[in-house]
Amino acid sequence: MTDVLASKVASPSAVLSGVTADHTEGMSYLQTLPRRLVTLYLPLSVILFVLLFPFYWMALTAIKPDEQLLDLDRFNPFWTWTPTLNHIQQLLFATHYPQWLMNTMLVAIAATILSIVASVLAAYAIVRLRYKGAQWVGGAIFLAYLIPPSILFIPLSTVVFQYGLFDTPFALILTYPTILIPFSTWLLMGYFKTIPFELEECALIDGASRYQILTKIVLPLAVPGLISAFIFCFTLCWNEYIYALTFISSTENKTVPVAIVNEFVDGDIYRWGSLMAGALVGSLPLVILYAFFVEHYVSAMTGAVKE
Amino acid sequence: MVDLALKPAIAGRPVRDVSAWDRLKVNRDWLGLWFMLPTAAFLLLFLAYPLGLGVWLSFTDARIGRLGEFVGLENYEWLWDDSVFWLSVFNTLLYTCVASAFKFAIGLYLALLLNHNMPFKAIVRSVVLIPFIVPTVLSAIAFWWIYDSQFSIVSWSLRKIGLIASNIDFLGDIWNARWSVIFVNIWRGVPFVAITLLAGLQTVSPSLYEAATIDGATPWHVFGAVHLHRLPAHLGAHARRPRQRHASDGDARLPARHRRRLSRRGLGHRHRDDSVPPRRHPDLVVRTAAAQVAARRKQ
Repeated sequence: MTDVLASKVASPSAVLSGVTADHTEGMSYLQTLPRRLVTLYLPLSVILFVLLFPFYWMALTAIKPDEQLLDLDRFNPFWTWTPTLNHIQQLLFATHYPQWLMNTMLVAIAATILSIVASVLAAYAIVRLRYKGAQWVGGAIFLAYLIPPSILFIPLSTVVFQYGLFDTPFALILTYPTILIPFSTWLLMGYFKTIPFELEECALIDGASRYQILTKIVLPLAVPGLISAFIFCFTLCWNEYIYALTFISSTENKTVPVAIVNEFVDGDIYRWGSLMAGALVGSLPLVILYAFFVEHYVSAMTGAVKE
Repeated sequence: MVDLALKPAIAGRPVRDVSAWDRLKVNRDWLGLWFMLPTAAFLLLFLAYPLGLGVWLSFTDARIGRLGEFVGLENYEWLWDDSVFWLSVFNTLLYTCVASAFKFAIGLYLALLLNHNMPFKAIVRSVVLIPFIVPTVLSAIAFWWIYDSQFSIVSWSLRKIGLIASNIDFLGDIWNARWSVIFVNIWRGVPFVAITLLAGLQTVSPSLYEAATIDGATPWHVFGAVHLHRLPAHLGAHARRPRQRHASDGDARLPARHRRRLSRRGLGHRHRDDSVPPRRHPDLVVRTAAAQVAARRKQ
C-alpha cells in the first residue's frame, strides 16, 4: 500500500493527463453536478477566460479592418463580419519581417546549441566527476542565474563593443548563453542524477574514458532532458528583449520582439492592426513548438520538484 | 610432492608501468577542468567581467566616450538624494510583494481546480500554460492595446454595462498604472505557479483521498492535512512536523488517544444516510495518511 500511496516524482504525462498509479477516478462521484458547477467549472471558466482573452483580442485585432478598430460605437468590438488580411499582408511583405524571423531563429538556435553543449559538459562534470570544489562551482553557476540582464547590459555593451561584435548576430549568440547556461546546467544536473551510476561503473571497468561514457551512455539515456533543455532555452532566447535592444541597431539585424515594437509605432501613431498582427505571428512559432512538446515543457518547469 | 604445489603455476609477468600522463588522464580534477572550460569561458567573459566592470564603473565618473576617475561613493550619494530613485524602489517592492502574493494564491487555487477529474483535463492543463509560453514583449503589446486610454475593450465593456461613466486611464494615472502592471505580471506568472504546484499535487495518490473521505473528511480537511503538509516541500523548504514521530511506525504506535477513539466508536461506520459520508472528525485516517506521505518525503 505504501508503494501506491505516493510516488516521489510526477511524470509530465501524468501531470497533464492525470493518469494515476492506481487508476482511480477520485472522489468526484460524491459531489452533485450543481455543486461541481459552482465550485469547479465556474471559477475555472473565469480564470481561463482571463488567461486567454488577450490572445483572442490579439487575433481579432489582427484581422479587423482599421475603421472598425477605432470606432467602437458603430461596430461591435467582439466580432468582425469583414475580416481582412491587410495587416498580415503588410507585416509579411511591406516590412523586413521575414528577415527578422530568420535573425531570431538563427540567434536562438545557435545560442541554444552552444549553451546545451557547454552545460552538458558542466553538468556531467559536477554530478559525476565531482572534482574538487564541484559543489561550490555548482552553487556559483546557480547564483549566475540570479543576476538579471538589466544590471549587466550597460557594462556588457562596452565589452561587446570592445570585442568588435556590436550590431552583429554574434553579439547575441555569445551573450545569450550567460542566461541559458545556468538554467540548463541546473536542469541537466537533475536529469543526470537519475541515470544509475552502475552503468558508468561497468563502462569504467571495461576501460571507457569519461568522454566516451558521456557520449555513448549518458547522453542517449538523457535525451528527454536534452529535449526539455533545448526547448526551454529556445523559448528564453525568443523572449529576450534587453540585450537585443541594446546590441543591435540596424534594421536588418534586429530580432522579432525588438523590431515589432519599433517598426509600427511612428511617433505617437500606433498602427494597432499591424502591431497585433506582428505580435500574433511572432508568438506562433513558440506556440506551435509548445503544442508538439508540451510534456517536455512541463518536465523542464517541474524539474525542481524532483530535488 | 609438496614443492610442486608450492611452485608458482604462472610464469612471472612484467609489471606494467603506469606513466604520469596515464594517471593524469583519469584524474578527476584534470578532467573536470577541461569539462568546465566552455562554461567557464562564457560565464567569465560575458558575465563575471561585465559585472566587475559595472561595479567598478559605479565608483568612477565615467561618461560616454570618456573614461572616468575613481570618485568613491559620490554616485551613490547622488542616488540617495534622488527622489525618483526612492520612488522606483517603492514601486519595485510593491510589484514584487503584491504580485508574488497574488501569483502564489491564485496559482495554488488554479492548481487545486486543475487537480480535479474533469472532461478535457489534458487540453485544459496544456492551454493554461500559454500565457507563460508567449514572449513577454508580445503579450505586453497585447495588453498595451487592451489598456489604451481611448479604445480599451475593458473601458468599453464597463461603460456598456453602466458601471463607469468615462474611459479609465489605465496607464496615465499613477495608481491605475501600478495596478495594471501588477495585473499583467500576475497574469503571466499564474500559469507557471499553477503547473508547478499541480505536478506536486499529482504525486498524491487518490487512494489517500478515498481513505480520508471514507472517514468523513471534507475537502477543507483534506486540504489542511495533506496539501498544506506538502506545500513547504514543493516550495523548496523541508518542513519539520511533530507528526513525523509517528511516521516510521504507521498504525502500530498510534498515540493513546487515537486508540481510545477507535475503541469508543467501534470499528464500523454508522451511516445515517447512505449518500452522504458521516460528518465525523476525520482525524485518524487523514493523520495516518499524511504521516505516511511525510515519511515518503523524508526518505
